[in-house]
Order: sequence, then structure tokens, then C-alpha cells
Amino acid sequence: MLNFKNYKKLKIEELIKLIQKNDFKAMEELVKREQDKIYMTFYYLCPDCDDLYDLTQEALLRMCRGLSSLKNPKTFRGWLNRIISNLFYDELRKKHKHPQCLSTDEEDEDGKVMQICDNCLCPDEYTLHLEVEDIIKETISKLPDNFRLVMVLRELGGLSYEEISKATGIEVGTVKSRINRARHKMKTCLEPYFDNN
Amino acid sequence: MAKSDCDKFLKMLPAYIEGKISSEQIIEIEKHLSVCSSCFEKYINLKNISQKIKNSFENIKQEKFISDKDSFFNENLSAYIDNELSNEEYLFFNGYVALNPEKRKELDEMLYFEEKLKESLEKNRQILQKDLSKKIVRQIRLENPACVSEMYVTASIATIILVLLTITAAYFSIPDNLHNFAVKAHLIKEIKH
Ligand SMILES: [Zn+2]
Repeated sequence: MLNFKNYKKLKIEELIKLIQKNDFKAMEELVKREQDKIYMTFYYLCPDCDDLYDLTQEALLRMCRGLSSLKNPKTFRGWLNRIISNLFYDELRKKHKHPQCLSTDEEDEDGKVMQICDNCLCPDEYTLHLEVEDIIKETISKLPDNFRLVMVLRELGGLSYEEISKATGIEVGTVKSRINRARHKMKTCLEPYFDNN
Repeated sequence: MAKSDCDKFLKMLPAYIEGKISSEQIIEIEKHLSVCSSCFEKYINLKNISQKIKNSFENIKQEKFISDKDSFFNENLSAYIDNELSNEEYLFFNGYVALNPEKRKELDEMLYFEEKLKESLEKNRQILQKDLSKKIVRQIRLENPACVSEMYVTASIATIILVLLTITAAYFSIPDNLHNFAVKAHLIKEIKH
């Protein structure tokens, strides 16, 4: 039980193996490493959420509880993002109260994404005072829910399309087309702010 | 050969290869190619690329049911940036942008946007105001009785060792103290005398 490992130097996979042997120091280190990333993901995913701390904490608890049954530590990132996606879906259900609002109907979503730029922030006197980081947050928050999810997992999480598909339950082909459309729209909205040189 | 002449013909090359220019322009360009080896080499190069992407597009088309090259480009621009294309698709994509300067520009703009976005997201890293690690681990321990008892066993062993150490230390320091006391008593006596 008494060990003097330098946990900070261990790889994620090594930490997971230790946690599976009930090493709580390793668990503490893993939480330390992941908490900010999870928090940041929710920061962009759930812009209207009242308590990002609660969400982050819940994700971390689910992560720690589930680790003992994670057979292949290499799948950790995809699996953790599945936890995040599920919590995000829960939040949406709470927000809408009507399950049918969580439409997976492509046409409906397409219609919505076409409107993104209608309500995106255009450069004017008000927005010119804002930092570009705030405009980005605003633009991401205005993406339709299902587009925002794949986009955040891609841009923040750095997940592959395959991993996003596994984390969200959305088909790879749909992941691809959503990222493509969302990125085009975001580009149109944000380009004026990136055009400094 | 005037440099501006070459620039003019180089811009026309893709359209010439695709057969999208007028017959007067064809005569003009062919005349130039017969006298300018530099442009001719570039022409051969582009022609090869064009042939290659035609072949690979035929393969892709059969697999993915895509009707034209343009929509393939539009639908796969993000996948290209995200490294999500197959080798065949990569070859096609690279050739396609080499042949189409305006698509090349679109790709470059998208790459620039992506770079800026990543940069800004990186700059705007959000950090939790309080560290949750201790709290989470405590909670998990409580949920897991086996681990709790293990924790207590460790704690008790540590306590016992500590107590033993204290007792030992105390035991060994007693004679010393007594000795010091005796010496002091002796000194006091002498001073009184
Ligand atoms: Zn020439």
C-alpha cells in the first residue's frame, strides 16, 4: 500500500490500471488532469446551464465509478466523451421537457442550421467591443444542439469522426456532414473577426 | 518569353485541360506551348494530375454515389482538414485543388479559419476555480465500503507504528533527562557551597 510513485509522470493508461487496483492516489491524479477539460467542454456545450460545476462533478463521478469496468484503457477518451454526451442529452431533455424536441430528423436540423447565420453576431458597434473569444462562444452556442455537440467534440476534444460517432450515437456519415455544415457556417460568422492580416 | 505572357497562359491551363475554353483561346495557348518549354512542362504535369483524379473519381463515385466533383469537394472539405479521407479520396482532393485555383483558395481560407479558431479556443482555456479531485475521491471511497475498510486498516497500522515510535523515543530519552537532572542538582549543590 505504501508507494512513492510519481503519479504526475504516469500516462493515462497507467493511471487507469492503478485505479482498477483501487489506487486512490492515481484516481486523484486522473481527476486533476481531466476536470478542466470536462469543464471547458460543458462551458461550450451548455451555455445556458446554471451550474457547470455540478455537471463537471457528475461527469467526474461517473468516470471514476465506471473505470473499474473499462477493459481497454485506450478507449478511455471516447468513453469519457460518451459520459459527457449523455449528460448533455440529459440537460437538453430538462431544458425542452418534451422528448420529441430532441429530433434526429435531418431535414429539421438542416433547416435550423441554415438559419444559424441569420442570428449570428454580425460585426457592428456592439460586437466590436467584445473579445473574439466571446464571439466564438456566442457563435458556438447558437449552433443547433446536435451540431454543437459534434463540433465541440471535434474542436475541443480532438476526437475522430469514428470516436464522435461512438460517443454520441450519431452515424459517422451524419457526423461528417454536420461538422462540415457547422464549420462552413461558423466560418461565415467569424471570418470578419479573424481578418486582421 | 515575357513573364506576363506565361502567367496569362498558366491561368488558362486548367480550363484548357478540361476543355472549357473557346477555339480561339485554344489556338493561342497551343501556339504558346509549342514555343515555351516551361509552360509545356507545367501543362504535362497538370494533364497527368487531371488524368489521375479522373480515374480516382470514378472509383470514389461508384463507392459513394456522388454525382459531380464539385459537390464532392464541398461535402468533404472538413473531412479533408480533419484527416478523415481515405487515400483514394486524398489523391483526388489534392489533384482537384491543384487544377482549380478558386477551390485552392477556398481550402486555404478554411485552413486559416480553422487555425484561428483553434488558437482562440486555446487562448480562452476555462479553468475550474476549485480543485474537485479530493472531493470526488472521498465520495468514491464512501460508495465503496471495501475500500473504506482498507483505508481504516492502513490508518490504524500507521497510528500503531507512530505510537510505538513515540514510546520508544520517550523510553530512550528518559535516562538522558535523569542524568542531566542529576548533573544540574550536583552543580546547584556546589554553587550553594
Ligand atoms: Zn510560357
